[in-house]
This record gives sequence, structure tokens and C-alpha cells, in this order.
Amino acid sequence: MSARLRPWLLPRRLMTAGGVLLLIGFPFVFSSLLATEFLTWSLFGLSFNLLLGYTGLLSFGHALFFGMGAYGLALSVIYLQTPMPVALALAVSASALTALLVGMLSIHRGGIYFAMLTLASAQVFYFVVLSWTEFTGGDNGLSLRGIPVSVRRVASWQLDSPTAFYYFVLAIFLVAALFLWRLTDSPFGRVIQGIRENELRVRCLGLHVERFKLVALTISGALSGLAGAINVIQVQYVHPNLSHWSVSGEVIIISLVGGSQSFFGPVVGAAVFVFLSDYLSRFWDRWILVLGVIFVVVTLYMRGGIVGALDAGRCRWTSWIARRRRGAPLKARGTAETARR
Amino acid sequence: MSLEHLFNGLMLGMIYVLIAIGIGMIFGMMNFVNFGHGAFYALGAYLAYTIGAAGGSFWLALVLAPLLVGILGTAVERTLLQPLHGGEQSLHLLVTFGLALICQELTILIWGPIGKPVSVPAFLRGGVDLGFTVYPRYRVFVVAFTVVVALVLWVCLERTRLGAIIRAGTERAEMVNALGINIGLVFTSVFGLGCAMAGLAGVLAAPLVGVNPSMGMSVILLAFVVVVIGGLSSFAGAVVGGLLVGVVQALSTLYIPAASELVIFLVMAVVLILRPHGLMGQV
Repeated sequence: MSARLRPWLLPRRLMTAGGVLLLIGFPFVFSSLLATEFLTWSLFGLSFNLLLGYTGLLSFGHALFFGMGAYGLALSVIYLQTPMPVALALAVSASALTALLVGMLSIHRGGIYFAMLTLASAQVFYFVVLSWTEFTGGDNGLSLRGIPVSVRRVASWQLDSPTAFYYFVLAIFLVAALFLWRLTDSPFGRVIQGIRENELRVRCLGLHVERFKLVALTISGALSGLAGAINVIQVQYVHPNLSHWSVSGEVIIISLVGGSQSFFGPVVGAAVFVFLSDYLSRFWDRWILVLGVIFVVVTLYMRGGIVGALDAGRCRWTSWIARRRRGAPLKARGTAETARR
Repeated sequence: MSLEHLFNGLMLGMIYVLIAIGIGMIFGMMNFVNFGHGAFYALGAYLAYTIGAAGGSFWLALVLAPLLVGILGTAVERTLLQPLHGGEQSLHLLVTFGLALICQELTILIWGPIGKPVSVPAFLRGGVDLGFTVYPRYRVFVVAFTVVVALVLWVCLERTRLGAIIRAGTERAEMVNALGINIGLVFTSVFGLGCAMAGLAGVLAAPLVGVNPSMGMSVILLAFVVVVIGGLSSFAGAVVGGLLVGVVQALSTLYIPAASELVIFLVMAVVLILRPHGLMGQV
């Protein structure tokens, strides 16, 4: 369904501009720390959804790429003393390379085998990082405070204040999101969506399915690594828990709850997750239970997630308006379908 | 490498076998990936603790806990999981993952976040002289008991009419249905039986590894590794895979403690690359 044919509720450009303005104004309403966390998870979710929503591959080990980016940045800043932009580039390359390697092993098997292999790879990384105490600090993690290189320094700007850092992350996020948007709307994006819908058909059209899946996985891994690296710069600390399987679970949950069938679904899911966790965790230790219940309800009854449900609601609304204008009777069956095209 | 460690591996392995048989039966029969199996294992262990704390004997727990877990599993299948049958496997994975997460949080809510101890029954304390070493009585019991259970299951599957129905349902469910057998009832019973097995494994493992909220999630991963290595719907595969993983885990904990978890996954990766359908799976 092409995005340009009809406005969603308001014209799309207006909505995009509104969204960007909202993001710019965030720090004035919420804490910058929370807002940065929201952006980090949104980036993570968007890159994960490239694989799940667009290519149809469920990875249960995306914490691997998140953690690889995190450790890539931390280790290069601590041991190689590279400035932050270089460290970021190294982190992204490391996670891209990891994704490529994992992909070469697991891309040939689909479905649950792919999920299990990615999970296993993430577990391998988790235990390596946990046990290699001399290099990675093991269970104590590594702190980025007090090291010679200031990790919050870009060129001549010192991004120590949370607000300044938020805008830096926002810039990165917007660039990455734009890149992903253009990617999904490109011929490459069409092919991977075709793979999701009917892999055999795409193969019969002469396209090398594995190669496309591998590229999608690599891009997804690279951007997940970027999210992980940003997270480390924010908290100035890296720990094996960043690549624990629960992180893989969380990115799956935010993508599905937000809506894996739309581009911005994971962003909505990230918002739900970050603000829910911040708000609920003040009252109740077991707030993850609420998240789990929402997740199960969504996967069972709301396949399109929140965005999907909003979309369905919007269809009913616009068709109701249209019928009002035509003077037709208000109650009619099957109107969502007739209003679509 | 001493025989004692090998025996440890066998014991671990047999517990994995019990869980893997459950997953394998459910997958083979209903093409349903149950990621929540570990939750039933944890529930069995927690029920064993509760029964013990309420004054019941270990033997009571051994019978009652799997029964309760099996009933719960049947109820969950009937209410929540029915609409998922015949759908995408990824969806099964996701929903059951969510349920497992909910279950983990519920156990923390009910029993608290700290682990609980379950003690070995008085009858089974002490050691047994096996010739090459004095080995804990309880562990010998676990191995013997699980072997008996696995054998009984195998005999049921291979020699009884119900077993024949289950095996037929694994191959051609619609045909079994067309022959007038209520396949839905069989499906639900198989699911309940699989969950009961996981609960039984939990009761047996409780005195060995203790009872803690994260035991479900940590075992499910290994259980899936076992099932994937052995072949997703093969009974013999679950046994072979379970024993292999148990022994490898015991030996690697002995020789390379830091990398013991790693080794299991490497084995799985190797098996998947060389024999994609598992060691004993059919193509």
C-alpha cells in the first residue's frame, strides 16, 4: 500500500514534520535522559523490524548486535583511546561484521532454526563477555568514567549535559531513520518484502534470496550496534547484561506491541516500553508482568500491534465520515474493505 | 575423565531428555513450538517446594506436582493456544515466550525473588558404593527413575493403541480425524502429558539445582538445543540429544568451566550445519 496515495489522517508531510517537532521539543516536557533512552530503543526497534516486519525473519538474538556495538565502543575508547566518532564507526562495523558472520551460518535455515541459531549466537557472546574478565571486566563491567578520552566529545563540542547529548542522539536517529525509510521504499525494500510474502516466488524470479536476507541482517545488525554504542555513551558503563537474552526479548516485544507491519510501529512500542518502565517501576517491582500480558494479548488478538489497531480504527472513522457525507445509512457491514481502495 | 563425571552427565542428560520428549511430542504432533516448556519445569519445581513446605513428602510431590502441571498445561492449551494451531511457527514462539515471561514474573510474585531449597528425601540421602566411586544415592535414583519413565513412555508409544494414534497423528493428523478419532482431544492430552513430563523433570531437579525464578528460562534454551540436536520430532532423537548435551555439559564444566555454556551452543551450531534436521530427524 503506497504511502503517497492518501493522507493518513493529515497529510503525511505534516505528520512527519509534527513528529520531528515533537522530538525536538521532548526535553522540555520529559527528562532528557528518558528521551535519549526512548531514541535508543526506537533505533534498536526500527533496525530489528527491518528484519522482522520487512524481511519476515524472526531473530531471537539481536542482543548480540546491541552488545557488540556497546562493547565495540567501550573497548575502543578504553584500550585504543579513539575519539568518540571513530569509536562509533568501529562499533557499527563490529556489529555489522558480526551480523554478516552469524548470517552466513544461519540464513539458510528459516523459521525457528534461524531464531534458535541467533539466540545461540547471542548466548555465546554473552558468556564470552561474562567470562573474559581480563579484557571485558566480566560481571563487573567496564566504566567509562575517568578514562583519558572524553567519550562525550565530538570535534569541539563537549556533550556532557543530558540535553546536549539528546540532540546529538536525535540527529543520529533522524539520519538513521531516514536511511531506513528510504531503504524500505527502494527496490531492495520491495525485494525483501517479497521474500517475506513468498520466498519461492522471489527465487523463481531469479533473485538471490540468501544474499538479500544477508544484506538485510547486516544492516539490521549494524544499526542495532549503533543503538548499543549510543546507550554506552549515555550511561558511561558497559555490562554483559546488555547482551542478555532479555534484551533480545525486549526488542521483540517493543516491535510487536508497536506494530511490526508498519515502519513506525517500533517507535510507538519503544515509547510504550520506556515510559511504562519508568512510570510503573516506581510503584511495582514486577512491572514486566504488565508488559508480558500486553505482549501476549497483542500477539494473540492484535497482530498489527498498536499502529495496526490505530490504522483499523482510522479506516472505520474515514469510511464513517464518507458515508455520512453521501447520506448513506450509518450502520453498514464490511465497510473497512470498501473504504480501502 | 572419571566415571563419576560421566554419570553426572548422564543424570543431567536424562532430565533434559524428559523435557525434550515433551517438546518433541508437542512439536511432532501439533507442529507447535512451545517456548513455555521451561515454565512448566519451573512450576513443577516450585510445587515440589510448596508441597514439601506444607508437610508433604517428596514422593507425594513426585506424583502430585506433575499432575497439577499437566492439568494447568491442558487448561492453557485449551484456552489460549487453540487459535494458534496451524499458524506460523514464529507466532507460537512469540506467544509462548510471552507466556513464559509472565509465568516467571508470577513465580517471583508468589514465591519471592530468592531461590528456595528443596531437600532430598531421607530415604535417598547418603551414598551408594558403585564400585568405582561412592555416588550420591539421590542421583542414582534420578537416573533410574527417568530411564524407567522414558521406557514406559516408549512402550506406550510403540505398543499401545493410544501410542499408535499419537504416532499417526504426528504424520497425518487429518487422516486420523477422518477415521473418527477425536484428534483435538488427543492433541490436548499430548500437550498436557508433555507439560507433566516437564513438571516431573522439575520435581526431580529441585533437590539438585535448587528452585529459583530464572530456572525456567535457563532450561528452555538448553531444552531446545537438545531437541534441535536430536531432531525435532524424534523420540530417539530427544534421548540421544539429551544424553549428549548432558554429558558434554558435565565434561566441559569439569575441563573448561568458563566456557561450558559456550560449548553446548557450538555443538548445536555444528550439528545444524552438518545435519540440518538434527542427528535423528527425518527430512
